[in-house]
Formats: sequence, C-alpha cells, structure tokens
Amino acid sequence: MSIPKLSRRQFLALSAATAGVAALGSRFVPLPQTITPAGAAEPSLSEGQWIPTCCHMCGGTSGILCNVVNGRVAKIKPNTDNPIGLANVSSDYWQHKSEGAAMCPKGNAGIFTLYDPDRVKKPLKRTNPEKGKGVDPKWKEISWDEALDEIAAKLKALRDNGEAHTLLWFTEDSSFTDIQADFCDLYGTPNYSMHSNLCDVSRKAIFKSVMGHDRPLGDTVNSKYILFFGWNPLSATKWSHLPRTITRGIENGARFIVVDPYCSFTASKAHEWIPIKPSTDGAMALAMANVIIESKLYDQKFVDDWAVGFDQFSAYVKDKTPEWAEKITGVPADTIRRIAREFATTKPAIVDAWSGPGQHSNAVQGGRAIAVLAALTGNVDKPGTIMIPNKGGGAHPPIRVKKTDKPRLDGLSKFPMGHSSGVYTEIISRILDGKGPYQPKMAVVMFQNLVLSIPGTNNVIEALKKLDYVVVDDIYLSETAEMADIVLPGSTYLERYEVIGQWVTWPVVSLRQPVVPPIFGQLPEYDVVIQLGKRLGLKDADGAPFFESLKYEDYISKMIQGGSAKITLEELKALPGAVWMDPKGTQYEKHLAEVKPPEGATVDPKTGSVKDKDGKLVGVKVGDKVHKGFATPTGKLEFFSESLASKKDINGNPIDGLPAYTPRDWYPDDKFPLFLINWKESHHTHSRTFNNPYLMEIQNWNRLAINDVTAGKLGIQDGDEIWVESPYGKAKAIARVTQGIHPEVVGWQHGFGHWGFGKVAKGKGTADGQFNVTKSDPISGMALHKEVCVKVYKA
Amino acid sequence: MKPASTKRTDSSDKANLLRKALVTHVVRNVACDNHEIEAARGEKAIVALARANIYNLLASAYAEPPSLQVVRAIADGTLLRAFRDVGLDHVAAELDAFVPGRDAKDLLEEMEIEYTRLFVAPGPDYVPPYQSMYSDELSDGSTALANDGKRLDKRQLWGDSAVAAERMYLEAGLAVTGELREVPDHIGLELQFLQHLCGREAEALNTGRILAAEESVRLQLAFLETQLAPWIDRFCQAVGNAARHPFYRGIANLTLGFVLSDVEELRRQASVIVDGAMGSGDVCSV
Repeated sequence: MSIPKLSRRQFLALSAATAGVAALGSRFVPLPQTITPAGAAEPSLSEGQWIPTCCHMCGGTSGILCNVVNGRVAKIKPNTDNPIGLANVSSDYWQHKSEGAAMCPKGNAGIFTLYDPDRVKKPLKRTNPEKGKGVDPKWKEISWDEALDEIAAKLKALRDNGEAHTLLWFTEDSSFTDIQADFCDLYGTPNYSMHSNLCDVSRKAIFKSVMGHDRPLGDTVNSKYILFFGWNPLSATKWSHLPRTITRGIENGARFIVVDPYCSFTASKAHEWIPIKPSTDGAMALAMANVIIESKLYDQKFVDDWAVGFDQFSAYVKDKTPEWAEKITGVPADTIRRIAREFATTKPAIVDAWSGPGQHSNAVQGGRAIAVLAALTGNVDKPGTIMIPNKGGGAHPPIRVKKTDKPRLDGLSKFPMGHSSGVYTEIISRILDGKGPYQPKMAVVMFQNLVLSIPGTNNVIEALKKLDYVVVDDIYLSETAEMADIVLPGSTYLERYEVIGQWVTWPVVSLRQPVVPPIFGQLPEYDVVIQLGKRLGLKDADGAPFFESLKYEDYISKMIQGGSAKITLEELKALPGAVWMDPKGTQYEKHLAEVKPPEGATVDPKTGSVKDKDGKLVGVKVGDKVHKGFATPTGKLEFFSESLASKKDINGNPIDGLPAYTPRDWYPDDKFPLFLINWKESHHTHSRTFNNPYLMEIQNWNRLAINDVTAGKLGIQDGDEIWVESPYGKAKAIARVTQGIHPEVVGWQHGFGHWGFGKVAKGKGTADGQFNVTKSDPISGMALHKEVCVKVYKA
Repeated sequence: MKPASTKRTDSSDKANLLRKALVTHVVRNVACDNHEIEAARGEKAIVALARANIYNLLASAYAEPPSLQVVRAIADGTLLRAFRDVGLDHVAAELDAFVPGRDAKDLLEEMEIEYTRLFVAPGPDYVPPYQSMYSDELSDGSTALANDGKRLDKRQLWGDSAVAAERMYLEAGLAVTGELREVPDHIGLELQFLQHLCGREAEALNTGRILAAEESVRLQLAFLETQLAPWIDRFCQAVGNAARHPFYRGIANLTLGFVLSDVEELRRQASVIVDGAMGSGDVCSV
C-alpha cells in the first residue's frame, strides 16, 4: 500500500477536484436541540444509571438491572425486585430476596451480544439470485425505507392477487408475538408459527391432557423427593432461579433422582443418576405405577376424589412389571422397584419431565405415563409438588378481525394436541413435497435460525430455496439469513420492550425495556411489523386502520392493563424493579376452591363433573361440595383421556386414552446401531449465542460423548476425529469418551456447527440437525430432535 | 418511531456552489505571496474549508453506499485526476482500466456490493469501520482459553474508544443524530467530526475570531491524536488488503495519506502557535 504525503497545496487541489463528487449530510446535530435517551447527552454522568429490565439471552427472562454509563451498557446484575432468577414460589421469594439472585453465564455475557461487531447493522438486499449453503448472497446495503417499501410491495402484490394465505410467518415465541399474530390475522394468512414446536409442545400436551395446564412448575424448595426424567435444569437453566431452587430443595432434605441417558450436569449433582435408553422413560414410569399400585402405595383418597380412569389405568399397568420395563429401558428391575417405593412414600414429591423424553415420536404417551405418577401419589399443586401456576401476564389487546378461512399449510388442526405455534417440520415437508393445500410463496422469519433449528438441515435449506421471497430479521447473518432476499437488522433485548407475565407460580408482571436506543438506529421487530402494516393499510373488521397511528408503547400498555396488574406501562416502569406482583402470592390447591353451580347444572355420576345446561364444565362434585377442579375436560386429573381416545393421530392411527407405551418409530439397527441425542447447557441458547466469545470461552466445541466401553469396541479414543453418519447426513466430529453416557447412546450439545453467523461461531463443532429426519411427533407436532440413529467410526 | 432513513441527504446545492467557488478562487490565487495578516487569515480559512471538504468526501465514502455521483466521477475521470494529483498513480491506472464500456448502473451495483462486503455485512472480508475494533484491548485480561486453546478476540463495539469519541463530540457541542444513529467511533463519524471542526475553523477565521479558530485547531489535533490517527493506519491497511475494487483501495490510500499529512501539518502549526508565531510567514506555505 502506498501512502501519499499530501501538501497543503494538494489539499486545495484535491478539494477542488472532488467538489461535488460526494457530500455526506451531517450525522451530527448541535447539542442543545438533542436529547438522546439513556444518558448519551450526559458526559459528566460517571456512575450512570441502573435501569431495571429482563434478560433475553434465553426465553427465561430473568430480572436484571443494567448500568448505563455515558450511553453505554457497562454492567448487568440480577434484579432482586423480580422473582424470575430468584424463586418460583412467593414464600421462598419473600423470605430470601435479601440474599440476592443469580444470573447464568449467558446473562452475564449479554453486553457482548449488544455490542457484537458481527451484528447486522443495516438492511441488506440480496443481489445474487442463486441461493444455497455457502453461496455468497452478494449483499447490498439499502435504506430502511427502501427495505420496508420493497417488502410491503411484495406483501401487497401477494394479497392483491388473493394469495395472502401463501405467506409463511415464523418467529421466536417469547418476544413481540402478539403484534405479529395481529399482523398475520389482518393480512390474511393462517400460517403464523412460533418456535414452541421446536421446543416443548409435547410437554405442554402431556400436562394439558393430564392436569389441564400446559406449563406446570415444580416447587422444588419445599419438596422432599425430586424425580426428573430427561431434564437438565441445573445447566440448561431456562430461568436462573432453577439452580438455586433445586439445590435449596436438596439442602432442605430432598432426595434428588435424575433419569437420563446422559449424566448431565444436573444428573451429576443428583443423589442418583439412572441411565436409560432414550424414549423409553414412559415404560419406566408405567412400571413404577405398577409397583405403586400393587404395593398399595398410591394416595387412594386423592385418586378417588380427583382422578378419572384409575381402574382402566390400574388394569393396564398390571403386567407392566419392572421386569417388563427392564427389557425396554435397560434400567434394572430392582432399581425401578426401589425408586417407585421411595417416590411414593416420600412426601411431598415432584415428578417432572422435559425435552429428554419429549422429542421422540412416542413423546406424548410416554410423558403422560410420567405425569400420571403425580396424580397417583397426590402430588399435585401442593407445597413441594408440581404446581399449576397462576399466570399474571399481559392480555392480548382487543382486536376485531375476521380471520381467513384458508387452512394452514402444516395441517395443524389434524394434530390432536397440536399447539398454536404450528408444526415447522410439516411446513418444510409440504414446501418440498407439494402435497399441501397450496404452495407457499413468501416467508418472513423473525429472530429465528430455521436452518440450524429444524431437524433435517438440508430439507430446510431446499425448502427455503423454493420460496419466491424470504425476509429475515435477525441480529446475525445466520445460516437462515444466508437464504434470504432481504435481511433486516434485528434488535437485542437491551434495545426493546416486552411484557413478561409467566414462569413463576403467582401473578407477576415484569417489563423488558430498552436500556439504550437501538445502536444502529434500527427498528425493533415490532416497529418493523407496524411499519409494514401501515404501508399495507391493514384494517380491522370495522374497517379502521390498525397500524396507521399505532405506537408499540401504547400497545403493550394495553397488554399490561388487560392482565392482572391492571396498570399502565408508565405505572409499571415506576414500580421498584419495573415489576408488579400479586401480594396474595402463590396459592396452592386451587382446584379446591368452591364454586356455586348455575341453575340447571347437572352432575355426571361417573366422574363428578358438573356441567351447565349448555354442557360447559363449571366444576367438580367431590363429596357434597362443588369445587373449581382442574382445567381438563372432566375437571379431574385424567389417567384416561376420553378426549384423546376419541381422536386419531396425524397418521390416522387411533390414540389410546391411557398413557400406553409404544416404542418410538426409529430404533437402532445393524446399520445405524446407536441412539443420537442432544442437550443444552447454561452457556448457550438454541443456536443463537455462538458468536459470543465469553460463552465460547466456556464451551466452543460440541464433542460427541460416547461411552468408554462402546468407544473401546469401536477403537475410538478420547479426542479422536470420528465420522458420524445417519441416513440423512454424515459429518466429522471429535469424540469425548466418558462413562457418563448410556453405552447404546451417543450425544452432544445442540447449537454448534455454524458455517455463517459470525467469525466466532463459524466452524466450531458439528451441527446436530443434519442427521435428523424432518418429522414431528404425531400427537402434538413436536419436532423430533432426538429420534435419530447413527453409526460412528474413526475418521 | 420513524424508521431511520439512510437516504443520501446531499448538502444544499448553495453550500456546494459556494465551496466550489471558494476553492476555485484559492487554486487560482494560491501562488500569491502576500504576507498581510488579513490575507493569510483568509487563506487559512480557505485551507480549512478545503480540509473540511476532503474530510466530508472521505466520510461519505465510509458512511454510506456509493452514489451515482461517485460512479460518474469515476467514469468522467474526475476521481482519476484527483488520485493522480496526490500521487496515487497506480490506483488511478487501476480505476482507469476498470471503467471503460461499463454501464453506470452495473458499476454502481458492483460498488454497492463492494461497499457492503467491506464495511457493512460481517463476512470473511469485513473490515469493521469502528475504532474500538482497533484501539481497544484484544481481550478483557482474562487468561482463560477457549477449549481449542486459543485466546478469543473479545473486542466489542462501543468500546472505550467510542465513549471517548462521543465525549469529544459532546464537548464540541455536537451529538450523533437519532435518525441516522451509528456507534460513535464509526470511521464516517470520526471523519465527519473533523469536517465540522475544520468548518468551524474556517468560519471563525472568516469572522475574525482568532481564538475560536485556534480552539478549533486545538480540538482537531487533539481528536486526531487521541482518536483517529491511532487506528487509521491499521484500518486503511485492512481496507487496502480486503478491497477488490480500485475505488476503495484508492480511498483507503487517500484516507491514510491525507490524515497523516494533516496531523503532521497541524502539529507543525501547533508548534508555531506555541512559539507565538501565529500569523507569521508560515501560514502561506501552501
């Protein structure tokens, strides 16, 4: 590089020669006229201010305080005015609030995400029509106006052509969802889908069918026996209070058992780790029920009063002996017998299951077998048991809209316990096989990396290629953004709003608010939606323009006012820690609340269900009183679900009303002899935190865990480069030889193996989704992240 | 919230005309050897204005995608001559070879893609245009290693350099606009801040406010020495290495040459000011 030395004479000549070539309008304004938010205009502010908000490095939304100094976020610490991050029952929270709260590694590393140099900073337009993995999109920066105008024009053309329903909309599920749903309804597409079906909709279906609530939470602090199937809450923290509340439970005398094919961090802290073959947890649970019933250790009064279908269930498990289960699960019969007895005789006890057993084709029935153990032993909604939370939340602001009558592309309504988040795998499959009711044309993807998140990576890439126009809004140039026609720069949680009203057991409403303005002047995702809605002139059912003068602050203020807090956004901001909570705190045994049935109500003699004259369930008669009961079809806990038994799964197969065990569809064979599972740890979320060096410093490679005996047979040593191969993909990995995994199972942490995204994330580890089949469970539509079989050999 | 528009907002035509007129005037009369203080001051003002123009030109090259005007200036040889005038003959030659027979729209898109690849979209050839990525410490001092044994680059946007830059903007009575918000130590902002300071110097000189002019010069030098100069070398080298398009290679060469020359010149002036020789013979040595 040659560096010219310029004289002042040359300055003048150069200035003259280039006059008019380019002129940059001033990016500065004189100070007195400018009030930039968040202290940017206060250079003397040396200590800055502490602004309460909520984390979103994962969907857990723990309460945090951000120190903003000179317009820059300098420090993040826990906000003890917010129970999320401290406790999930109110007595524990109030008693221990002064001890402080914790943040997980992701929360502590949040500042880097805000200031990551690899963030998308400006709207980018693809100029290379060819799309594919690793194909350079040849991005071109365009202005926000150009970007929004272009997207709106595409949307308008589709709608004017009567094809509004061919728009697919994908989003993360814990941020700005309400306004996106409104947009889709007003625009006229039924295809609004969210992340949940990649996460835990099978668990939602399980507990919804057994207990009538889709997100129960364990009161571990007050428990004496904690039994988890396939859950790693001490590391895959979700809410940063979990490691505290579980270990506090142990301190208080609880015995802690973890059933999992992998000795997770959580299992390593348990009194006992029980390795089990993946997807067979339901069989172990049935055998436990067999023992508990045979030994008459169940809570007969509770079952008589508060459950239906016990006799059928009891008959069904009669031959589901520990010996029967041992053959399926690989767990010794004696162990099952012992755990069953311990669990049934130690009160109060918690039994819970999450994504371990939840991401296989038999997830819902297997999970129900686990959930009914709580009903069998009377461990429901009491202190120290699994709790039915009282959500405080925000209410969706009222909107009058006539929804389209076009069917969804994914056939969601055919899934008997499908979740409103949709079924991503079906969408991908329909795009590829063309067997849906129509071919989708356009997709908007908000804050999601579909390519690394949906099982069957190549299918996702091919499906995205088949769409005419793809918009991605993200903070990174993710592998999905690589497939986009336009990328909009997303916002981080430190630059935007959200109302949070769940994750603890009593009504609490907390606020996420921008602690700094969007650092590149970009629009937060909700404002993108508003701008598009405005450009399209979307109107509600009364013909009133919905987005025209809509301000998001007003929208969420309505959400807060409609929830249990019944206060405005400004009032919530002014509360300590920007948190409102119900002073009544956690309520137990809410099903016991007495209700007065209306005139003409009838009682079902078999179940005790009390229904009004329109057939709507209004309560449950137990003895001579009518109680509120549970939110199931019968108002009671359901060993047998009439509702499920009357339906067929997505494949047209009848569903057993009992939590019957059936093996999952895909089992290891001679060719692919090992189960492949995946998991998450505290230092990463999904596939989205992998460009953060503070987190990559903790773990930047997902080596494949393989049992030492298995490794020995295959001649694989710790650290060896190996091939992992399934019928759908083959890739290199590095072996981690350990005793901490079942000998028939290999597994690794999810989210690695980026080929785009950012310079820190790129090329680290192996992407797990490439080995999978693009399928979901046939009842709830849960993506099958863990139903994979592979062979492993030295590279 | 209104979307932050990045539409190119050209300065008013009037200002452009005035600037052009002034500069033309200077170039025509630059050979004068007038030692009268008034005239010297006038010429200093003209130099300051010229510098403001160059800072603006450079700022625009980094702060926004190229415009059709730039493409035309390449096509009609204006930029070619400008590069030649400052001794960047090989860049001029490359640029010359680049243009013939090309459609202006194609050229523009090619340059927009090049601009985006270099300064906007993170990728293999991304050259982050933020000072914190050059001046700040590579690591937080942690000796922890990633599990591949390597130290990780922990430099982030809005580092200490950005805070320091914004502080100097604020001290000079300027704030980054909310509409076109950027991180304060973006190269475009740092260059444009100097444009503002040079403009102020010119205005102060033209209205006879010598102390205000000196204050502006002091600020220019302070900003150059503490903010822009310490990283401009590495930034321009990186652009020079990553650029496939001769325009950006040329701009990088020009930026580095101009900024270093300007610092040198300001230092020389400062020493003159310190010597109490303000307004003496030196001022006319253009």
